[in-house]
Amino acid sequence: MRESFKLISALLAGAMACSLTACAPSGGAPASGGSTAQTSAVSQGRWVEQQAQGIPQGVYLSAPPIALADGTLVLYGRDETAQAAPTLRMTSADNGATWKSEQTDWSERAGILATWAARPDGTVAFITTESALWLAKPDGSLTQLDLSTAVGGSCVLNQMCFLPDGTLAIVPTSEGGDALPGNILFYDVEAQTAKAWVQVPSDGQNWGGAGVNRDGETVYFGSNDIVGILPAEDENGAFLYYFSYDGDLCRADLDGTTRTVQAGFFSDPYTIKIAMGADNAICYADSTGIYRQAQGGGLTEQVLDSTGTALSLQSNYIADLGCAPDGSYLVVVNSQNTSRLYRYAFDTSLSAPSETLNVWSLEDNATVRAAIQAFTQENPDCAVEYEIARQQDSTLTNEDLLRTLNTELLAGDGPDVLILDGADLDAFADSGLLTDLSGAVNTDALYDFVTEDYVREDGSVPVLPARFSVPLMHGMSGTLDGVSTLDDVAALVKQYPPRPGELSWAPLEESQRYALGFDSVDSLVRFALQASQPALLEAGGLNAENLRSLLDFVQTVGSYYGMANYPEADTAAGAAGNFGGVDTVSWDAGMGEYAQTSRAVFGYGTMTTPAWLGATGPGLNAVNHQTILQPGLSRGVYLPGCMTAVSADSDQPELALAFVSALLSDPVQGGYQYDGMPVTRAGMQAFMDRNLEVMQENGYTGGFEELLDQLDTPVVLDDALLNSLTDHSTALIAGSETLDQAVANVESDLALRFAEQG
Amino acid sequence: MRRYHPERPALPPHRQKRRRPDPEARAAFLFLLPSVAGTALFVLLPFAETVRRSFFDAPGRRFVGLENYRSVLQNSAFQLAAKNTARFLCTCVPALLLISLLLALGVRAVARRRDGSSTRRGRVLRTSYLLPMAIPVASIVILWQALFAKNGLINGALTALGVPPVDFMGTGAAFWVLVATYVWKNAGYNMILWLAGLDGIPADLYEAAAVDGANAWQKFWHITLPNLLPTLALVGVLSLLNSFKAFREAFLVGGNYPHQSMYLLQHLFNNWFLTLDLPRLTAAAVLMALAVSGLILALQRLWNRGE
Repeated sequence: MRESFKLISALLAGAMACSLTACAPSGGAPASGGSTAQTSAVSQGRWVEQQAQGIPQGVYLSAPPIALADGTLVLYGRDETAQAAPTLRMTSADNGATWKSEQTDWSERAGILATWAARPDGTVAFITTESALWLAKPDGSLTQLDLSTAVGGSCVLNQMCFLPDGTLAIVPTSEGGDALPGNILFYDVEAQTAKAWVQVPSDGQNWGGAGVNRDGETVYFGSNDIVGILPAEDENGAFLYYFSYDGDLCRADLDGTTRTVQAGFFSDPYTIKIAMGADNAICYADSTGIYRQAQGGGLTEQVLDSTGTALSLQSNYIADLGCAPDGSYLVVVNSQNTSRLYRYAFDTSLSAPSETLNVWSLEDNATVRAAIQAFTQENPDCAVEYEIARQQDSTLTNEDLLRTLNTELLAGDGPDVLILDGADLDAFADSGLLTDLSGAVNTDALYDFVTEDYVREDGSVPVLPARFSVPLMHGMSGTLDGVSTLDDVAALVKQYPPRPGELSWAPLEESQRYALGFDSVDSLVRFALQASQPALLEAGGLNAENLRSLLDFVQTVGSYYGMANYPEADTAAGAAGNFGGVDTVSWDAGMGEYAQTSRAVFGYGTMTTPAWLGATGPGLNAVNHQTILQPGLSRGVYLPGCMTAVSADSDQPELALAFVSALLSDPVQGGYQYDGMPVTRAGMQAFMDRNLEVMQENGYTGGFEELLDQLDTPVVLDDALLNSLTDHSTALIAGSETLDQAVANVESDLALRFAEQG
Repeated sequence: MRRYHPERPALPPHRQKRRRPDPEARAAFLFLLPSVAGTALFVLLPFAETVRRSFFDAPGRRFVGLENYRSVLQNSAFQLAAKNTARFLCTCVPALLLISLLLALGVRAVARRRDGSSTRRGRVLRTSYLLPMAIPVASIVILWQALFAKNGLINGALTALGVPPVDFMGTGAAFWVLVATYVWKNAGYNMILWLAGLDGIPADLYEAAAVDGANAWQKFWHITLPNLLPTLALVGVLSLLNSFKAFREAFLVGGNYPHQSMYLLQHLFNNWFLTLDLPRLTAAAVLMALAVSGLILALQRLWNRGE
């Protein structure tokens, strides 16, 4: 018995020893005893992004390239640099890498190109900006197709494509609210007759939007239940895939029938573009990458991760997706009214990246994505893994996510680059977990107010913002002279009528206009706190006197406006557009009610691009308008963002610092990602170069640099302070707390936090 | 000159008797080795590092002596948390011990027939008191909110009776809610331990006492309690350790900064970790470990005295 135990023990020990040896690193000195041979990189291939060459600047691409029967690709676009916006025909013989262009006479004979579709034989159907449908044959002939008979009235043509059998599939939208015979029209372009109408199952036509024009008439922005279409065929013949607004993939057949192929195929159908792959798989692209699913299959695979590509940039809008005969993908990307065509091809001669750099942030950061793209181009052998801690459906709090990050950092295992927006910057900077960025940063290239606040006395830079924005207030010239404190703003508010609580965008008579568009207690508190936080926070606690001043301001304005009776708002008011320059600006109620709808006398908002100063008042221009920094208890306030740091325990310190350099490089700093202005002077110059001409056309006469000269106080809003102030401000305005009680309650809410820091 | 003793025969040079290794001791050592290695790796070494960090600055490079300890002891948040934690321990541990002992005595009284066999009633009672321990913490939090929220069931009942509602979670009442929850959750488990201890007292002692004319109270005071001292030490240690788990409910309901009456040491540690205040965190952890060790040593003495 004892012998059998020994035997079993020996066998078990042997098995354990074998399993442990599998954990040892592979390789070692060869038997010959010579030096270890370097293993050569195995070519595994990787996807390469390349901007298509040969497409002229200023050409607007409204549809993806189409493959012709001879294997070449054809692409049509509208040349917006020329007065008549002529149509250009571009062809590529190398699967979209390079293009040759020639001008057509379509715009003279038919009109300005809106969108188009082509058949493999070279026949093109195109729609003009007047919603006229034309057919262009390969022999150069143009024929206008009259749809009025088929449609039974007038309509707007939104989408169209040719099915494999040559049938033209059109998705029209009725003008003026009249119903159409269906949602999809299958049209025979040769016979110029309708083949079939298809009514998709829905509650009826849905309008994309509606509004009131200057004449007071209701105008409908035509939309449909169909978000996208895709030509396809099977053993029974040609048909059309379409996907609905709820993401279901459906098919419409030429006999007029429809059915759902896969419910919930797309989680967000409005952000994706689809195409049929060379292998007849359904492909789609969005900001996260390119995906494919075999027809009839149920599993979607990601072909290309967009990290480091133009697809991931916030400033780029994915307009269309096409597939080349060799399996590469062609994506039309629009950015600031220009179109670019990118080709994504798998290059088998390239090895997979040998190094990995980990970048971490709480929320998705557009400037970081731009930096990843720039860094990846400079360092193709280094893959960047961008970890966004807060996922869309996550129930974890910021504290949970930061706790995980802290654990990883303290274990020496964390990410290489940290974007610390939403984290306690002082805690990280003092912890010793961050490395000095001064080696990667040319502080002379930064604005003085950035270096003063973020470069320490010993010259080290633990954390640096890569973006900033500025809270501003606007009014007609001269009306804001001397307004510099919260008391001044409160006095200004009381000079005008109170703001009505109900949501409305209808203009008001001059006598009815109120001072500022505070549409909620939250917006009022943010306005006050944004420009006052540094004056509230002092070592060990809150400045009671300043806290009382702030709450007094909130009570004065909130009570005057009757905010306690404001209805519960389930939507946020706002607008976005390139109002003042080339860059798009986003306006909340504070600016929208002032500059767009003539309801408020003054406006306020946060400037994220100099283009903001091109539209600072009613009329969406800068004529006779005044701009000041937002008044508050503090002066010279700006809001830094994209707070960048590098882990001291990074395995790739040089690459991490190179990433920071890429983040502060001119191309990244000079590109607009909708999240703030550059911290470098060269980047700001690029912003001005891009926007100044249009700003000046709008009446901008200067003042931007003068505003920047006043900045010296960075403010990162403290969420706990904001939440406490909002809660007790609501109670204060409602009358359930007195001012003394509100002050005491805010202090009590935050007492423990300050006690811990003491 | 060397003396010759003819009575004593000449002996060969003295040879040390070689001790043969005890195979049982070696086997015991080998069996214990993985556990000891794991404890050393995951508990002792990290604790040693914690002690080391408590004497250094934030990056862990500059020795600062007792500065961190001084900072911790002077910190008002630590003082509040320590006071609350001590108050919680001094309130709920004795309450739990007493209530669970009474439960055990009661269950034992109804759980056995005169012939010593167990009753169905006793089994049901024993299982029922253990059920709260099986309830997940998240469910308890939901129950808390349903009962003790401003518009919860209890306030609803109070309002129906004409009594003004009580803000349980926003006032000092939160502390008593925490104590009640802790006692409710752990009473059943401790009751089982007490029952085991009670079963270990020889029945002869009670018979002899009955013969001597002792009443129930005298039997309890002179026989039951003294024989339960080892069990008291065990139950006390376990109750003490379990009391620190009450932080979970307090954290899920009150967040990082609950009402001041519920603000415990774990809240402070959690927040200091979040703000990467490692010097004070490690110093406070060492202080807490010393305090808990002292308590357990005291209970250990009690145990040994009982044996």
